[in-house]
Amino acid sequence: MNLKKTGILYGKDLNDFIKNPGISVAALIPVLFVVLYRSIGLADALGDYASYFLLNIGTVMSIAMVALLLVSTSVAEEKEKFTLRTLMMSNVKASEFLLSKILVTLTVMLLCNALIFILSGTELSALPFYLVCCVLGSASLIMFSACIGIMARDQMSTSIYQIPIMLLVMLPALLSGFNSFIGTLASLTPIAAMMSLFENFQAGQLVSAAALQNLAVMLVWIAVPSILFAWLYRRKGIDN
Amino acid sequence: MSEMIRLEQVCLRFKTGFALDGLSFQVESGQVFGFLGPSGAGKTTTIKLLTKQLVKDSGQIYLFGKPVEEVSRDDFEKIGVLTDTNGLYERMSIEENLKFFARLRGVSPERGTELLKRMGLYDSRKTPVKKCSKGMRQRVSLAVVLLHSPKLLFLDEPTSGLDPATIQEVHRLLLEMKDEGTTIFLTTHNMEEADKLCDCVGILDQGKLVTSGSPLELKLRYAHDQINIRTRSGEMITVNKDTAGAEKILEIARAGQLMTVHSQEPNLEEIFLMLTGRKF
Ligand SMILES: Nc1ncnc2c1ncn2[C@@H]1O[C@H](COP(=O)(O)OP(=O)(O)O)[C@@H](O)[C@H]1O
Ligand SMILES: [Mg+2]
Repeated sequence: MNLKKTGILYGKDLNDFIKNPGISVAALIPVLFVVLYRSIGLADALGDYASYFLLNIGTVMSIAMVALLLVSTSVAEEKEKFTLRTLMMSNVKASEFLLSKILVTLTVMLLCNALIFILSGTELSALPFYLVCCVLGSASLIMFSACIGIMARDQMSTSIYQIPIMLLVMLPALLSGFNSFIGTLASLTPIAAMMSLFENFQAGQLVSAAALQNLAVMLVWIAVPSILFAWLYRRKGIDN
Repeated sequence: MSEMIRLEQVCLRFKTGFALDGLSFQVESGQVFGFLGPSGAGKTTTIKLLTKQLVKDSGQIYLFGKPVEEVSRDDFEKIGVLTDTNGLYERMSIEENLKFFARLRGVSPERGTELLKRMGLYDSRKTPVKKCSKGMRQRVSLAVVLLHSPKLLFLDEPTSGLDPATIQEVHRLLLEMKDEGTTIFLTTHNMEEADKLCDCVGILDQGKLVTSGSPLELKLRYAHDQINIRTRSGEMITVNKDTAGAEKILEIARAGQLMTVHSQEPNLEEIFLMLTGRKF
């Protein structure tokens, strides 16, 4: 792996993210949502609950938009327009190509989530730990996104592969009102575990069985797509 | 002259059948080698094997004198590849594309500017690639491939689908590259192009090399043994290339009737037809 080449690719990918309104606007929607919610006064009606609500919903939306979509959508475009071929023929390694996209995703996601955090009105001292949680919770989705990037041939099939993973992100929100079994199931998704770990932190219970379980859930979720990725990559390579 | 490329009995099978079937040939350093053949002959597949985009089933492939499996990333820096589908970043301008690839290759941005001028693209350098014509894109792609002054250049049908003026431009550039000592491996299904550019051509059909040699060698090897004579009265006479034929020519010349004498050399298209029994 050549870090200089990765850095050059990162510059190009970040620039392209900014220049491509289709993707950059999608990433800003969760932030705009929180701004809107505050500005029309809806947050006031929620009282003390407001910051908790806004942080949760903003984070889930942002991770769904950015962590899941960015890598796979941008890999699909590079395949479809054959720029991936040009890069490979310019002696770029698949690992450098993907690492750059993952780093751009993390940059954009952390930036958006930091904004959401500040706008939600949550105690600022918790920001660093919140961002650590975001990385841990979204890592599995970013890896799933990389898997989709390998599997899908074009942008069309990419959006189809994205649907089941999107459900994984949305599941906790969709199922939170149900009975205990389904509720337990929902808590085993990476995003639910992430938000729950952050609550553990806020409650001063970072050293507890519950926190440990949340951490374990996220790590298992990171392992699944990573193994899948290694297998897919060995079988298919990236430009096939 | 040292050897740049060598293939020995290379086979590759797809589910649909053999793409390459015992292919052997070699290319010397500094040569322009033209790989000719109809669509589906296996030209692109050969380039993909040589540039590690595909892996052979059997046989041996050597690049820079090393087995292709041992060709390192540093060796690859000496290679330029224009595939049949080279993409450019559409939202970026011509100049931005070139600057980006120059940075990736570790060459100065001025090298990009120099190539833009040589390609006649300098005045339109600010144009976004998505607004460029096919001919412009192909020239930009070629500039990208030439940025790091490769020693070995693979070009997959570099002029297919281009207008005649752009084709001339590309040919001029390739001849310049050749003068600078670049080894060029190009595929084409245009026989005239091969004739004009190549020191050596290999004719490929259904994954097999049908014949190879310099265009002139091939023409002589497959020349008809006949000579066409036109007389002053406009009559066309064909004689054989033997003593009787020579005497006939002499006789016409003595009578003051000789206007033109042409030996019939086949073009590459006719050679292909002769060897495979099929039209190109
Ligand atoms: N990925 C592939 N899978 C199956 N068959 C292929 C594949 N690529 C090429 N072929 C087949 O291999 C043969 C040679 O193809 P190709 O090298 O592209 O020919 P050319 O470049 O000379 O037109 C063709 O019959 C083509 O259909
Ligand atoms: Mg081809």
